[in-house]
Amino acid sequence: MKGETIISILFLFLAIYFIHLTLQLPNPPWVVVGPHVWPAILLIGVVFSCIGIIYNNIVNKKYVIPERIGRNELIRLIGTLILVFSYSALLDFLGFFITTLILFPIYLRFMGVKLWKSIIAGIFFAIFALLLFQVAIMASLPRGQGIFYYLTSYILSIFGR
Amino acid sequence: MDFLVYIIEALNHLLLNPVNLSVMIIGAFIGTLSGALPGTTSVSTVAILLPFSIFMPPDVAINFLLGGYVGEVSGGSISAILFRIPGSTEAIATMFDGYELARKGRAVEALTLARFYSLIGGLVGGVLMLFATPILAEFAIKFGPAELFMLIVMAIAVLSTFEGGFKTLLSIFLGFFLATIGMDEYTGVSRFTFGIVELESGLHLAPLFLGLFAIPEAIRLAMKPPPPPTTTTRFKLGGFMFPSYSFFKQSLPLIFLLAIPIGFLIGVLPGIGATTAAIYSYIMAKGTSRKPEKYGTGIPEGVAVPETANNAAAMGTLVPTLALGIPGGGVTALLLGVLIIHGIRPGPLVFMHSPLLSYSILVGAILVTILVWVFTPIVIYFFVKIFEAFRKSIPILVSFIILISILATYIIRNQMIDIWTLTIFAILGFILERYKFPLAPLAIGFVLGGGLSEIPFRRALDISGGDLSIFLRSNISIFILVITVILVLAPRLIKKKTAH
Repeated sequence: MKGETIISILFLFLAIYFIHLTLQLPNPPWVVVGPHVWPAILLIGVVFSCIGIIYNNIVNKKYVIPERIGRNELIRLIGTLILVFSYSALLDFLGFFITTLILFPIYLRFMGVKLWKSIIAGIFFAIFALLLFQVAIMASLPRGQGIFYYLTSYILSIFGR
Repeated sequence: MDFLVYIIEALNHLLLNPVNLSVMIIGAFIGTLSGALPGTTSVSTVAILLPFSIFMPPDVAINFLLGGYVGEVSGGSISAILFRIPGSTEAIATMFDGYELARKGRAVEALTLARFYSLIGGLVGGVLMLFATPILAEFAIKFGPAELFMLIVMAIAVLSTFEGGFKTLLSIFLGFFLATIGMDEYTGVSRFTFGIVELESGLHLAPLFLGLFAIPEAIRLAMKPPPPPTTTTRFKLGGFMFPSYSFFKQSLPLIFLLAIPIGFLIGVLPGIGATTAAIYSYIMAKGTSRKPEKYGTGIPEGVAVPETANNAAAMGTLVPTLALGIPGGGVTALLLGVLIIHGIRPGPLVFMHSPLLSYSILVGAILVTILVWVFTPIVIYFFVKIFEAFRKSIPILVSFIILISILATYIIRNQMIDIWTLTIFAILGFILERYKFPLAPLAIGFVLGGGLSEIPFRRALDISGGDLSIFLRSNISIFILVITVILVLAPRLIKKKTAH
């Protein structure tokens, strides 16, 4: 089965599941059009589009064959996805400063950047994020939990935050 | 002719007073810089500037804040073009072609276009605002929910004519559907939140856009790093002045007949704003183009149209705020607040009671547009330097894009759920793009969905008691329908004719 057929079937099932959910939504009596109507219209549109794509794939044999991913490309893809996932997962626990300081040098080293360059880039990114978001925009970034909270707060205090 | 006297007096008041001028310069510079930085929005920029404006006279305070707003709208295109990370939501449509131009090695051209057409949009929008505010305010209040919904129908109809067939349709419906997640504004019923409290306020634009566009691009760059650049982006501070004369001449009909009218009128309508104006004008430009398939591949028109429209819309938003006392969006609500703090009540009588103040605000908005144009090269210079440095080491560029995308997403609402949303959309965006599902209609659908489509739809039906004919009762609705039919049918007829 072709990739886009699988994607369309997945969306089709998801749309049917969400149509089922829309039918469970309460319908307050004081409104003419309840909260389920608009999403239901859109989901029927999704179902219709998915059927159209599947029909084109199977009957008309119209589908896209994506470029093959080589071994090295696959390794880099997985490495980058791991970075995105681990950064998102650790951000709340370690805080932005320490997470940046640890994960980016590891990723850069994995991508073939020299060790010293990776470490410097990691330090640069951590300080850049601090200066840009915490100092310039005065936004609040996650400081981590437990000891990491105190550690990040101490670093921030050096920069007057 | 009284208003001409007031305009001259306002010019005197703003230009000959060094304090007023300096305050506008500071506002414009901070706004442009903030616009280029991902994670900021026009509302957050104006909100940051707000405390400093309290001690200024009302017209100077408004122009200071307007500097921040116009700068944010214009500056957002810089990071959208260079990194595929829109600095502000108003630059989302600019990103579609701007980034593609940069990828082709035409970053300077894209930045020049963005800067120049921002000026054109702001100036023409400003002049329209100056001379037609009372008439336009009357026009704005004629737009009821039925007319607003017909505008959305037109956008969907034109979007569905884009290449991609059912894949485009799927993207549009998905985009609109994603906008329904969260608490229903109309009844307070939670929809598709699965008990997650943070989802009650719905999905935010930033994780969706950065997830769909910025992170998949970083992944692609990591997988297949492009060869190191053989040339560097040549940069001179005055080098971002004008596009080529031939392109300017060729773009005139598109700019004056499409981008400015659409951008400005959408800006005038309360509650819509510059982001929608830019996206709407982009859809219309693509829909009316003889070569719609070229949009999204990196064409100058794809930068010129949304940049003109979003700046014209920024000017348009001032019309209902000043003339009716109805803020069109978050920024204008803040501006309205500042005026009220200073004891001025905007509304139909403001031009009678405080003419110099009103005209100072309108003239100041035009001056601020010029100041933003003057300061953009400094900000561009800084960002081009970063871009050039990172181009030499793709893994560092990839890390930079991922870092900025995740942190910029977090700071908007300080919610971890937004970061997970970003991660999910990053994977979805990467997979969908591999199979050539167009992502732009999904993003556009999300912007136009929710409050802009569902609420007018339901409000109109509530007014009519469920009678669907309300959508075709007014002349404006019928006019929009006729334009929709023309826009949908014309490309097919032209194609048929050329095939013959």
